[in-house]
Amino acid sequence: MIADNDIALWRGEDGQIRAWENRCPHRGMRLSYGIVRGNTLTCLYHGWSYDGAGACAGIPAHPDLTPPKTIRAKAYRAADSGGFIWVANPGETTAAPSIDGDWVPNRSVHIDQAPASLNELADGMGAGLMSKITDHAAIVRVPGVEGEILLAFLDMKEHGAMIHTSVPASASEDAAIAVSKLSTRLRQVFKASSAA
Amino acid sequence: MTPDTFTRSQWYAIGRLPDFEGAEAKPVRLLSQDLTVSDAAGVLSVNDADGRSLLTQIRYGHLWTTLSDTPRPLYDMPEFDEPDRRLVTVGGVGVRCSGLRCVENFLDMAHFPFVHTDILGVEEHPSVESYDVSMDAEKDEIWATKCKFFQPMASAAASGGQMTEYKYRVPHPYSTILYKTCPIREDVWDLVGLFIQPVEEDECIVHSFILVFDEENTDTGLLHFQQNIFLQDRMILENQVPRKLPLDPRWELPTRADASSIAYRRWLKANELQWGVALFNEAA
Ligand SMILES: [Fe+2]
Repeated sequence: MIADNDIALWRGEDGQIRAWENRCPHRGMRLSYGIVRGNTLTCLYHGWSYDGAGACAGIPAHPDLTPPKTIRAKAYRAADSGGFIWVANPGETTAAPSIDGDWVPNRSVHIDQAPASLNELADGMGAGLMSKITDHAAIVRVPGVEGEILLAFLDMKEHGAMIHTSVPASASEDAAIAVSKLSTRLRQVFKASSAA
Repeated sequence: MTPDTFTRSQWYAIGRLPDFEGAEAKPVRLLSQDLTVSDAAGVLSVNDADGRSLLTQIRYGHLWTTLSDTPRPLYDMPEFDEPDRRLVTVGGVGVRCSGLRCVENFLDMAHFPFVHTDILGVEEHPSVESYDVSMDAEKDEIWATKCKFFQPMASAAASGGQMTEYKYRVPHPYSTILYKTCPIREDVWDLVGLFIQPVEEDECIVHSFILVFDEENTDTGLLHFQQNIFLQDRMILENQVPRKLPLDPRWELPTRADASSIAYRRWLKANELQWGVALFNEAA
């Protein structure tokens, strides 16, 4: 979800990640129930298929019809980096984050209360900011935990927030477990009642 | 939103007769209002929250009521008086979407191969031939006729694949009836229909019926066939966004196969129906 909009994420055979508005332009069916074949996504309801760029590629009810160009799934910007999938509004012009090194996704947790800022989130985790990537993501270090941590949050307003962490591919198992525990502990730190 | 005049002026089925046997102020919700149904020695009455007694009638195996004092007459289905037909009522099934979406789904043949795979359609025959849509101006209802679709198992009585001929009728914003080729008798139609009880703008209870010539299947068999189909539809209906029906043509893009849905949306608009309709740009 971004800004209250439901998103369908999918990857075709080409490996490219795509983030689309989670509704078929035909009759509003959630595309997340669709089926990926090759590099197309097919809606479960009427079998309308969409190519990787979001253009309607086929309407089974009318096999001989070339779908009008106006039929398109609304595509958000999407990119892979640092073990995360990054999504932005279609009109967003800033470049997608490109994080050096090999990272492995570690943990995603939901917290009731979204942090006001990246600093507040880092404080809640007992972490120090090393370098900021966006207003919602940074590389941090936690005293006593070996190596760097990639930390990001998605503010979902009244629905709380999602916290994501990645660790370097070279991180030890102990470090990975420590980061996972720190992430889980954030649920207590950002509980609905504590901020009320 | 309070229901618009067109919505308010209709009769609505709220259950089958046995559902209210011995009822003492049994709660029922209709058009965002709390009603109660009571059974006094076999006579059913419906009251609103202020104790006002509402009009009622018993027809088509269901109890009907209306919020209006001068309702639009309930549509006729003379087939209910024909001898030898079997009536099976399925009972209410709650669905978290506008009842208007349920009507539209019911009119739609294009989804058969994908949602009712190997029952009402097969993926190898997805094509929807053009059919006729007309308005019966006198009765103010919609008919879609000459609908043909390849079906592997059109009904519980069907023994194999066939081109099934359909007619659809929409005599009421929350009712729709399918007339389909009877697999065992010539020149008659089997009926399947929905009487939808709109609970909230985006929530409803679907009461459905089957009125067929069928000597082979038990009532339970017919019921299971219908329930199975409807549960497949419900999975779709509860995952359409928004839950209310968008009437703004910018919002959902139809194709030729949707001619009946286009006529239905146009008819709702012409009758200034607003309750249960999603407004453009309104958050889903
Ligand atoms: Fe269906």
